[in-house]
Amino acid sequence: MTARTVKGTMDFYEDAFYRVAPQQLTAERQEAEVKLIVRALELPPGARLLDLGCGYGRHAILLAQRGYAVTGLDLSRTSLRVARRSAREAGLRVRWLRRDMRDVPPADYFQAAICMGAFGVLETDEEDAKALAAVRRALQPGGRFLLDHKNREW
Amino acid sequence: MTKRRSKWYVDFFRAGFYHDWALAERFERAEREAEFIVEALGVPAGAAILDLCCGEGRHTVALARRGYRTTGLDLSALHLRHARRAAREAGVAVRWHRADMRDIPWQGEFDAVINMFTAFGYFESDEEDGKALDAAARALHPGGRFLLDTINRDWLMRNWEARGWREREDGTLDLEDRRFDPASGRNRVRVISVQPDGTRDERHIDLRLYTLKELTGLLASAGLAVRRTWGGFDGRDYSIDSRRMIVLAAKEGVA
Repeated sequence: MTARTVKGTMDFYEDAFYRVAPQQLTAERQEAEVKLIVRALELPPGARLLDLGCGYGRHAILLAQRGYAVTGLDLSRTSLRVARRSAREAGLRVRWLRRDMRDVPPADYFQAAICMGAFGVLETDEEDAKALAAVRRALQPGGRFLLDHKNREW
Repeated sequence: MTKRRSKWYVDFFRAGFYHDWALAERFERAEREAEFIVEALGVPAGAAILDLCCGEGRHTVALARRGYRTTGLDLSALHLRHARRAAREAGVAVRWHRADMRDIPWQGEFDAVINMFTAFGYFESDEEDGKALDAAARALHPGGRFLLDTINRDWLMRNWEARGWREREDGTLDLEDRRFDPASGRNRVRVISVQPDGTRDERHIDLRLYTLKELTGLLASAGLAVRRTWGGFDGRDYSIDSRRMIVLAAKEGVA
């Protein structure tokens, strides 16, 4: 783990994010996003799915509800604590991993991966690319990756 | 047998359009822009400057007037004919050369190369555009300067208008129908001109718009390191709110 940028970003996700996010990320929006994820990835039932930068599990939990074998990966303790509690309350099994997104285990395992608004946080393009390389390693051949990012031009 | 379609930039600049459309007041503006260019380049008096894609030579001539040894390169024979006349009228000596911007025939010859008024991004791939930068870098002395002035893509996106029109002094209407392709970063424009007598002429622009970050990478690949950026010829800072993106780069090595 490196540098101030990531540290500053992480401070945000350990604290302020939780005061802001629930107002914007409504249940309707979450449902619509998950519908698109399932359609775009063409997931077979029960598929192994990685949620990179899963935050407090807003997609991971809805996907687990649909029967996918979800792994949620995030660097923030606060996020994962909230995620764990939500999954427990919903009676769902999700594997939670506290890790850097450049460091994804295991290799050749997932049928699909998603990264919903969690990309571009590292300090250089090269470091961001390492996260993509990690996703490629974690995916089975032919596995799909869906990335949702702000539209720079907008 | 199919006739091979000419490149859009050959077609676009053919007779009787660009000259009327672009030039009259731009010659006056070029005089002011030359002041900025000279200051930005920071080259000594009498330095050798190549105006890459010089068009009708408005900056080339303005720089020659200020005592620089200037060369103007352009692909259009028509442009160069007008440029020669402009130089003659101004009483300055300029070397003119007709070539594709990727085929600059000089090496280590110039103190500075300039590329003005969105004369970059014409080719079909980033690699081909990069070849023009390679050629510009080769033409420079070590430590030589490269100045590129183009439209600011970020500004254009924030102020996007899919259609626009303007009226010339003679009543000709120029209508533009613009389509931005985000996957390739290209702005494709249909320009329709309707003259007062109803004659209609249609031309096309197919321009790769580079972000500053992308352009910085392409310049670096050519051995040109970005030193400074501006957002206009008045010297304002480059930002997402500036219409122009003016980039000064230096060739690696010591002069």
